[in-house]
Amino acid sequence: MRGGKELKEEVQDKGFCTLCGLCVGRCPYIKSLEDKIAVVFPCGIEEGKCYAACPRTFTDWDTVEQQVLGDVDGRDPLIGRYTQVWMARGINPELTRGTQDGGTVTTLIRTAMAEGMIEGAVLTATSDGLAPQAILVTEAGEIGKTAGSKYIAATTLQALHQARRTGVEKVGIVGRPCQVMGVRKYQTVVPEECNQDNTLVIGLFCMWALSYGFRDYVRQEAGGQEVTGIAIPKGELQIKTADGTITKSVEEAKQFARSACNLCWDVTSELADISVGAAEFAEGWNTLIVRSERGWALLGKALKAGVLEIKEYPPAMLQELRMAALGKKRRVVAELNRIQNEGTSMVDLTSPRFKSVVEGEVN
Amino acid sequence: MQSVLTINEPGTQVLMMGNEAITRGALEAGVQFCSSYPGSPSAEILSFMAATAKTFGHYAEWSTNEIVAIEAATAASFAGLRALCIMKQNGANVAADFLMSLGLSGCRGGLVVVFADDPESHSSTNEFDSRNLARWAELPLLEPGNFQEAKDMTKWAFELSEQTQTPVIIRSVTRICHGRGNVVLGDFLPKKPANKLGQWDKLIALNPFHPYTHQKLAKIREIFETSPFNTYTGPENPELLILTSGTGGFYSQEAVSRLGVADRVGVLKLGTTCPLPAKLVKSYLEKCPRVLVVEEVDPFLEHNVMVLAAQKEMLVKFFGKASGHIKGPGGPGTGELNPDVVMDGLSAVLGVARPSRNDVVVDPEKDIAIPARDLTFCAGCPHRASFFATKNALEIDGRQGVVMGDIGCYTLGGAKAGHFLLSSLFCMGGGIGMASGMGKLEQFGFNQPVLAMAGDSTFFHACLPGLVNARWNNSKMLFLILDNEATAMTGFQPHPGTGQTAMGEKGAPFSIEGICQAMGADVYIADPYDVAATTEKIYELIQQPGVKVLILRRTCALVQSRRGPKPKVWVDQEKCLGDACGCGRFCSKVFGCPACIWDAAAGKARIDEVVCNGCGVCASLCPQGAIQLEGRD
Amino acid sequence: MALARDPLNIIICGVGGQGNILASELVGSAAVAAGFLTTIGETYGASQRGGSVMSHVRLSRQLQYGPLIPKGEADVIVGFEPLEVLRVFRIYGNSDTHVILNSRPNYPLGTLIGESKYPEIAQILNEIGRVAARVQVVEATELAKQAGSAVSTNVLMVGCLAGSGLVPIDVVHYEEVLKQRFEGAALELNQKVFEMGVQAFPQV
Repeated sequence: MRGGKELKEEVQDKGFCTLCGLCVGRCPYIKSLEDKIAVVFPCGIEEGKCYAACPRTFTDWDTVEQQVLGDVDGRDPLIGRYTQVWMARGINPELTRGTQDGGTVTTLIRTAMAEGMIEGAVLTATSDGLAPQAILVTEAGEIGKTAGSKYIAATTLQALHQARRTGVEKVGIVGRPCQVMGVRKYQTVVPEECNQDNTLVIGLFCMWALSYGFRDYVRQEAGGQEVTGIAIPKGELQIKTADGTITKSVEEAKQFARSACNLCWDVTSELADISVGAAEFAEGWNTLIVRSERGWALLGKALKAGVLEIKEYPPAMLQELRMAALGKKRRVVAELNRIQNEGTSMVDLTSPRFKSVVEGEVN
Repeated sequence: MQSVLTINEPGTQVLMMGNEAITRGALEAGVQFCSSYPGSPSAEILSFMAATAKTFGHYAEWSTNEIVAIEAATAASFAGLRALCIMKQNGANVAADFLMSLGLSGCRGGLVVVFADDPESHSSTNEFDSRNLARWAELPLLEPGNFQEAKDMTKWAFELSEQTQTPVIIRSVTRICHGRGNVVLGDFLPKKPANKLGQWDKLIALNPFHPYTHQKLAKIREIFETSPFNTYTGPENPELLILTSGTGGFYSQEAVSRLGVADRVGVLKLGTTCPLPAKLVKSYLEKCPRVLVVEEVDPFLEHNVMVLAAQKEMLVKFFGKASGHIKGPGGPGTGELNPDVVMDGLSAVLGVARPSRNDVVVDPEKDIAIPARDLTFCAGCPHRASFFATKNALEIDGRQGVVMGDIGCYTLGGAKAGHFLLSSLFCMGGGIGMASGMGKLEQFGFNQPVLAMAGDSTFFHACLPGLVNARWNNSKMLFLILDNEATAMTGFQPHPGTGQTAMGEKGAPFSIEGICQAMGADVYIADPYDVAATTEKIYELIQQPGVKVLILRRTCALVQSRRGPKPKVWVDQEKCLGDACGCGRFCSKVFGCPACIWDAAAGKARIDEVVCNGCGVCASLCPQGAIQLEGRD
Repeated sequence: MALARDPLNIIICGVGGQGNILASELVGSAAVAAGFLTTIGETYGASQRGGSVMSHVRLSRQLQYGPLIPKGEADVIVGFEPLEVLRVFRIYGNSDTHVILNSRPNYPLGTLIGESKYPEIAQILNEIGRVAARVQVVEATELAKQAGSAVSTNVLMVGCLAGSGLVPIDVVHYEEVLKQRFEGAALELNQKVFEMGVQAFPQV
């Protein structure tokens, strides 16, 4: 029997929370501001959905994956089950304005809404490229405002509950891997609140998310200038202000990576319907991983509508992506082992999924 | 409309509240200038004075605080006018610096100061006995023991004050101030105009006058020896003498009668307790050297009479607080008197049975466990939302911010109603002063956010020096000013921020934000009903250095509810999650508004429409959007 | 009229905000008009803060009694809230005590937040009834609401007391006091609910 009390003790107090926003949006006892979260009042409920759905409580990856992508044959130990990998980019300038890289995410979510796959989208907005904000968008025209990468961790899934409460039945979600897992566990634990058939999950690639210390750092670097945007292409941190762009090493940003991210096994949102990340080798393009039937259908609609362009993904580049994932997975498994020795079991490390990575069986 | 305060029908018997009786006494004496700062149990007196000011042609003001009030009243006395100044026990401390000098300077026109004590602290944070202050200040002290005396003593106090050129203290207590009883009305005396002050008319409190103070007190003692306010009832030679003052007279009389010992016990009730009418008391001690002293709170009379007996080398057996015979549940010298305390004491001293009609037997095993009824904020009170938002912000912040409390309705926030949020509680203005100090402790490794919380009226009363100090010394703290546009705790009196005077005239409206800005603090304003925005603002401000001020502004729900129809709030029970995960009765269980009740039959939340004041905050907190609000701006 | 028991000790009790003070003042003023030496003791501090409040009203032909009734010596308890009546009855009641009680509960903070349980009304009535000389229950809040406003529940309860025959004060005195205290629509409402209270129980 685990509830809010245990969520606080086993996840929040230990610094494991990813700020996915799932619990805080559902439960009035839990509150969050910036990158802090707290169970403000004890709810007294012994068996809490917050604990059960949290991506940072014990997660049976095999079972969840089976439920979500059980009918997908291809399984890659490093980037998850998928059917196709493409280079992709949005080709309708109306839809890609203000986007990072290829504008694929914005194009896909707009397509999903235009085509009636979803009625609303759970997204992350920001006014200054820094402080992110969870929002529910129900007008296609509003989606553009959420375009562009946000590097600071956002409690995006809060807006998922807003969708539910305002009667938005078919909902699209764009989230980091931890948030994708949050949604999937939620679908398992409370299917009546979040039906898998009515949900479209677009997953992002993610190596880490930053804390609010990054915002203070950027503001300091901007020296009083208004910050208009942030970008981190190819090992470079770019701080955009009205006066021009200040360039720093990406290492400057990385020092603000949240320690909770060191426990994140998933780099490419392996449980999403479709995953999107940068394609660092080709400017203006994204990497697109199609996983589920629903993801495939969405891609088809975008192509048919002529708003997205795809091309074959260079096998060498795919291998590079896989090796990047492997590097992270190895570091993470070491961390997962460490916290397991300290008494927190977040996954079943004896499962082949994890063992194979550590024991060097993959390549 | 005619009232018991205004009817000019001497000899008529009416029911009067003690505070009305004191007011009426001052009116009958022709009082011209009245000043006070609201405090329970005396707040009504100045309100009555203000309400009757036009009828009688006197002046009444709510002063910024008690020391200003006594200074203003003394000025009127200086000009030869009769002046009344009213304060609760804690207010007497605020005024003490000036009061301590008044014995030296004396006065001109009759100057009467009412100290209203609150034994057992019914509506105070603490109890104490302000009679000690009167003795310390070397000012004569009168103690009314019933409602008639409350009126008559006040009236006479002006006469005594003028006759002896000495300010007179009247010490009342809650049971007189807020009790009611029969009073026979007297006549209204004529008023004298103000004197012109000449070059050598001075009112100066310097030590060379000290001997004169003592001479005046000696004269007053003589007057007290024959005062009709000192009464004796009982046999010529009693075997026990009850020496009492104030409400002790009521309870002593009842105890004697209830125990059936009227032929054995005499009651000497003193109305003029300091300076002690020594000859009078000595004459009774000579008749009966066994004395039970009955008074509240401290053994004030008891000690004075003990000293007297020692001076006169009399062998007297004392019963009372020192002997442990007069004691409430908290022990001697704590709490208020009541008939049971005195009956218990008297029966023990006399060795007679204590009569009782109580035949209710409670079986703790089988009978109902009565839940406590904690004091809480009223339905719709903006303070509930302010505390809720503060609690949220501090918990999210996670550094265990400390909140220094202050005096007002929001003091209740130190208890369950405010999630036990207050870390300190002292006196008016105590919170900001403590916070200014605590905000300087970083160099010693103290890294918790520091907050102070005070109300709007308290802000003007006592917070300005503390805020100046915080700014001057670069403290790091957040000052939350709970501005509900009234002195709500004591009955919605105006204060400098409201721009209204006691007499309903337009005064200069002071802007709290303007004052704080002038002090150089960063000032922000939030609406506590907007819990999310307020939480965010508090969180944001406790991350920042320096002195920050956040004014949480919302009219007191009770004031608002008198202005017009209340907004409607109700629960859509279809949507309500009730006890289930995702809510768990959040509105009633956590927010704790008395209007958010539980419909046990339905297993759903319900709004008690009789209690609800329509603030709608619960509607904004409901995770399901099940609580509906209609008609609020 | 003389008193069967002198002093006659009446307690009016309820929760802050229910209008306890006004009720005791109405009774007290009527008593003075009827020639009684009357003393009232009040609790003010909790008056609007949801706490337990209680007014002691003491009538005598002989003495100006003190503002507090000794424990166990209430002759009449008029209660605006069931739990408060039980609380007061245990301390001030006895087997001669008459109780007039409004049946509508007002939940304490501890009950709202789930720390304590509000007892069944039947349980409360049962425990009081086991000892008290008589318990009369009136749905005062509901009646007052029907008459126009729940705010006037207190005056309705004063009507119940006035009509109960327990206090030898002629109803005319109460009616006079109402006229002195109120005017316009408030007077009409209060006169109406007072009369409803007077008629609430068939005379003993």
